[in-house]
Order: sequence, then structure tokens, then C-alpha cells
Amino acid sequence: MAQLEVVLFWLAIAGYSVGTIAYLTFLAAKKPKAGQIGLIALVVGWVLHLGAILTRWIEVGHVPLATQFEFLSFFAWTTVAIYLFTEAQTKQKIIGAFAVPIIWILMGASWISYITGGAEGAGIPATLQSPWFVVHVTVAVVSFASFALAFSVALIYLLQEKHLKKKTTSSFFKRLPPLGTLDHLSYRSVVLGFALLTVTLITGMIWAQSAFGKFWVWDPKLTAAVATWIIFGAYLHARLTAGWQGRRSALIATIGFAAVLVTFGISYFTGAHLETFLPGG
Amino acid sequence: MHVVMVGLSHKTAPVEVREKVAFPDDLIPEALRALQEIDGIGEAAILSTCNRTEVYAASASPADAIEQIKTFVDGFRDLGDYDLKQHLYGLDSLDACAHLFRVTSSLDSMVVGEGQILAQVKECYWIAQSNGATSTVLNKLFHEAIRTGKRVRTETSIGENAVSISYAAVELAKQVFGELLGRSALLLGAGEMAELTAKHLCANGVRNITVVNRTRERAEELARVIDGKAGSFDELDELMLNADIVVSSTAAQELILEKDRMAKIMHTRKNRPIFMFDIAVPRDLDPGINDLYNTYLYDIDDLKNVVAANKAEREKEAESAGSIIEESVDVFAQWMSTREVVPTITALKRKGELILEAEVEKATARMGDLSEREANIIKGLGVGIVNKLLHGPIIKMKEMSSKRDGYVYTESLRELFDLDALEEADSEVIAGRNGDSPEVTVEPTEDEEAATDDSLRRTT
Repeated sequence: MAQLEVVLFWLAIAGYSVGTIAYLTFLAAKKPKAGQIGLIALVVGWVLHLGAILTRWIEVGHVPLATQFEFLSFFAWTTVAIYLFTEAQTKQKIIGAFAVPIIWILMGASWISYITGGAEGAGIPATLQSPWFVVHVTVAVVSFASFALAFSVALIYLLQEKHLKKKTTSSFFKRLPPLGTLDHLSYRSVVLGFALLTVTLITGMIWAQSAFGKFWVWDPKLTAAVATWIIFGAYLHARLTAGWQGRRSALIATIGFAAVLVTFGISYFTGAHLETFLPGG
Repeated sequence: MHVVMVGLSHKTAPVEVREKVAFPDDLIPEALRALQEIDGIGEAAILSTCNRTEVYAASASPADAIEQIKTFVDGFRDLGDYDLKQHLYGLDSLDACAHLFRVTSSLDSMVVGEGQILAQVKECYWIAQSNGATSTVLNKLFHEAIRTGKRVRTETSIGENAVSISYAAVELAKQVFGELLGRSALLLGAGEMAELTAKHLCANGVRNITVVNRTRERAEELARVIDGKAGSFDELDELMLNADIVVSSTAAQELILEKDRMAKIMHTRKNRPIFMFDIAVPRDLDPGINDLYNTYLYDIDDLKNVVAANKAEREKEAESAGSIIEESVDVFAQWMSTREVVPTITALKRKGELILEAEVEKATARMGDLSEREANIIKGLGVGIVNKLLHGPIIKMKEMSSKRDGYVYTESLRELFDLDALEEADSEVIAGRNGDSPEVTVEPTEDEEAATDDSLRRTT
């Protein structure tokens, strides 16, 4: 069974790799075919990736979101889903040239996590097995994936706006979507991400309360999560009240995504953060 | 059969000549008939735009046809003693074909990449075809030309970069707002340039345009043209609050909008993005405005830079369009080759048969009474010689037919054996009249007809 999972996972990486190259080619050269190939590779990779996740689910016997590897893998998979949805909806293929490489990097990180011990499934203590856990983690991943999309869109915004301000004449920028579209899309992704991050924090507290009898500890991960929440909260506040739409919004979205990665990275070094709730943790 | 063309364009003739030579639409059917009456010309089409007048035809003897068409064009419009021939160029075969493909792809246009010419070529073909002036060769040629033109437009970005100031402004605004549908604009000054830009904005869906001008009458006049309204400089700040795009072109000697004032306006606008074009000299708008948040200000030099870069970009795209044209010329050349091969082989065999029959008859007549066996031997000798002699060229011709210059061989063969005369004599015998050579009357294939429907819609 593990064999099958590895094969599917590798094939998914291969699909995403082809997708990354194709989307970058699409950006660099005006080749509609490259864009089509990229989309197909991405969809194929995504289906295989789903296969890998389901295989693991059957193998470990619970939702595979307990280890760092499982989490990263699901993060990458969800980002692909959100990206595919965005492309279908906005027809802005250029965003893929920025979002798909991020997915590829997440997949790489996931793979590193796998070979450095993530292959083992985590046995979750019975006390922790609760529907709240599943909701908490799933929602967290979707939230992070939304921020990942907001980040890639914000990057394009910053490039395009710099071009327009500096009045550079390169024809490259004509291929990037208009500022208005980018700003709106980034905003929408942040709203979704922020709402889900709020749900993540609330379900996390409910779950911690039921499992450990305390709803909060100030461990580094939770602190980083709160910082992330505050950054995106500030984003929305500044936008709605001070007219910070545009470049400033895009900058905050970029910083916010960095905070997401930090939140993520912390447990990369300290282990899954649920131990800190346990006595002596 | 060869494609030939004769014409003049903005590259060879000044406008005062071009305008005299241009064929008005209502004269084209008559001109097409006259062309077809010229000996040796089977099919014809006339492309006449303000930048070029070109005649395309299919003929078996290209050199003669070119001369005759030149004389025809020279004589069609009364130009007195003026020597029109100095402006005319003539091309044959694949050169003529490549020229039409370049023209249709707008590589030969005054403004490289303009989109009008493709529609004009379609129109030219439509007129020729509906007047019965085209047949197999020109049908194929024009289908291929229109296909090439479309390919160049979709596969290169030759038509995508604005090459006029006013259109460059519209494109820039689109980079900020996306589609301009429902956006609002403010014109400061109502000069010619402002009007042109306003019309472009209008055409791109901008509604709610306000015109402010020193003289109110002129503002109202322009407002009527673009379905907007007139305003005054006193209410500038309020007007700026609602505008997405500002075009300034007043004759004022001083700045009419300072950075500080604009900063206040942006604050009230809650930083909603605004794109401002200052096409006035001396400038109307404080250059520092460009540093304000979500404010984009381009002056006339900035726009000129954009246009210059776009022109360079089009030149570059024209190069990659060149390879698309090469491909299409190949397609057409191959089609010509294969199309000519079968009738040529048939004609060659027929020529052999005719000689054989004549010679055998002559020989047997001179030998007097022959047994059937002897007569067969003599005939067999003749058949053997003819077949062996023709075998090599026929095989070679079939081989060459798939090559680009294959039809040069076919044509040479026709020339060397005088096959055209033979076919003509044959068709006279068969049809009892002086008709077209057989392959010209071949009906277009289903595929070609389908393509025709698609490309026939008259676009202007």
C-alpha cells in the first residue's frame, strides 16, 4: 500500500513539475499551447495527488492530517484546487505562472518532510480523535491555501503597479492582468482566508477544551497564528476604512503569507503542536 | 497555371497616384470581366484599398500575363500621359502568393499590424467570387491567404500594441481598470486630440464623460458628439471625485492642477485609482501627481515612448509572422504541385499515344499487307519505346510533386512537350468550343466551400 502511495505522490509531483514549466513558458513566451498543457498537467497531477492522499487515508485509518508531511501535502493539494477554481472563474491563466510554482515548492517541502520521517503515520491518541480536530485542520488548510493564492496575485499586482508607475515600456506587462482584477481577486482570497482562519482558531479552541480541558496555550505556533490573524485583520480594516486598496493591500497580503509560512514552519521544528497542550508539553 | 499579381501600394506610389488608380467598388465587376477577357488569364481578383491597388490572376504564361495586366491597369483609368507603369510591380508564382499572404497579414501595411486589411482581402475575394471571376487556383490562394492572416493575428501579438497616442492611452487605462465598460472620464480641454481619445474611450464602453473647456460652447459641442455633459473649471474638484480617467489638453500656460490639491482629492476619493493623461504642451498637470497613491499620470512624452516601444514590438512580431507565411507558401506550393501532376501525366501519356498512333499508322501504311502478328509487333515496338521514354519523367514528376518547387518541373514539362496546346486542342474537340482547360473548371471541394462560407461574411 505504501508503495502505491509513493508512486502516486511522485506522479503528482511530476504533473505539477510539468505544470510549473508549462505555465512559466506561457508567461515568458506567448504560447497558448503551453497554457493548455499546464492546465492539463495540473489537473492530472491533482487527481493523482488525491489518489495518494486517499491511499494514505486507508493506510493510516484516519484523516491523514496528523503529521507535518500529511498537512503539507494536503496544503499543496488544496492550493491546486483553489487555483483551478480561480482559473476556471477568471480565465486569467497568467496567475498560474505565479501560483503553480508555489504549489510545486509546497510539494517539494512535503516530500522533504516525507523522507525525513514523515512516512510514518501518526497514531492519534483516542482523546484527540474528535470531529473538531478534523474540521480544525481542514479549515486551516483551506485558509492557508486562500492566502497562498492571495499572495501570488498580490505579487503580480506589485509587478504591474511598479511597471505603470515607472512607465517601463516592456511588453511583458501587457500580459499581466489589470490592476483592478488583481486587487479584487487578492481581496476576495484574503476575505475567504481570514474567515476560515477565524473558524480555525475557534474550532481549535473548542477541540482543545474538550481534549485537554484548556482552550489556549501561548505556544509559538498559536502565537504565530494569532499574529497572522491580526495581520490579515489589519489588511481588511485598512482597506475598508482608510482606502488602502492597491499596493499597500498587496504588500500586507505578502507579509501575511510570510506569517502563514512562519506559523507553518514553527511546528516543522517543534513537532506537531498538539503536544504542547499535553501535561508537561 | 501560375499565380500572378500586378499592383502598386503606398510603398511605390504617392497618394495622388493611388487615389486615381483605386477601383471604386461599383467598377470592380466590370474590371474583372475585362481582365478575364485578356488572352491567357483564367481567374482574377482585385484588391483596392486606400493604400494599395493590386490585381491577382491565374495564368499559364506568367510573364505575358504580368505585362498585359500592367497595360490593363494603366489603361483602365484615364490618367492622360502619366506613366503609371513606373509605380507598378509585378510578381509571379510563389512570389505573388507570398506577397498576398504578407499583405493579408498586414506586414505590408502602412501601420504594420492594422486589422482592416484582413477584412478588405475577404471583401476583395468575395466580390471576385460572386462575380464568377475566381476558380480553383484563386479560391485556394485566397482561402490560404485569409487563413494565414487569421493565424498571424492570433498567434503573434502583431495587432495588440497601440501605435497611436490616443489608443495607447486607452490601453494603459485598461491595464489599471480592466474592461472600461461603465467607467467615467473627464476631459479638460476639448481639442482635437481630446476628442479622438474621448471617441476611443467611448468605443471601449466608457460612459458618463464630462467635458470642461475654457469656452463653454465648445465643451457642449463635444459633449453632444460623445454623448457626455459639459462642466466648468470651478467644479473641477467635484468632477475629479467621480472620474476614473482624466484627459487634459488645455492651452493653459500654467499648471491647472497641483500635487497638493490632487492629494486632497485622492484622500476624498478614498484612494480609488485614477488614470490621468496630460497631452498638453506646456503641461497641465503637476508631474508630481504620479507619486500619489493609486494615481497614474502619463504626459505626452510618456505616451510617445509607449507608442515607440509598441511599434518596435510590432516589427519584432512581424518577423515571427514571417515564418507563418513561409509555412503557408509551402502549403500552397505543394497544393499547386499535386494539382498539376495528374493532368500533366495524363497529357503526357496522351501525347505519347498520339505520336504512337500516327507513327505506327505511317509505318504500317508504307509496309503494305501485314499479318496481324507483324502489325502487333510493330505496334508493340512503338508502345515499348514510348512507355520506356516516358516512364522516368513520370516517376520523377510524382516524386517532385510533394516538394515546394515541384511544380517548376511540371511546368517545364508542360512547356517542353507543349502540353497546354495539346490540352486545348483536346478540349476543343471534346467540348466543341474554345473552353477553359479542364482543371480550371474543377468544382471546389466540400472543404473549400465550407471555408468559403466562413470567410465570406462581408466585413467592413
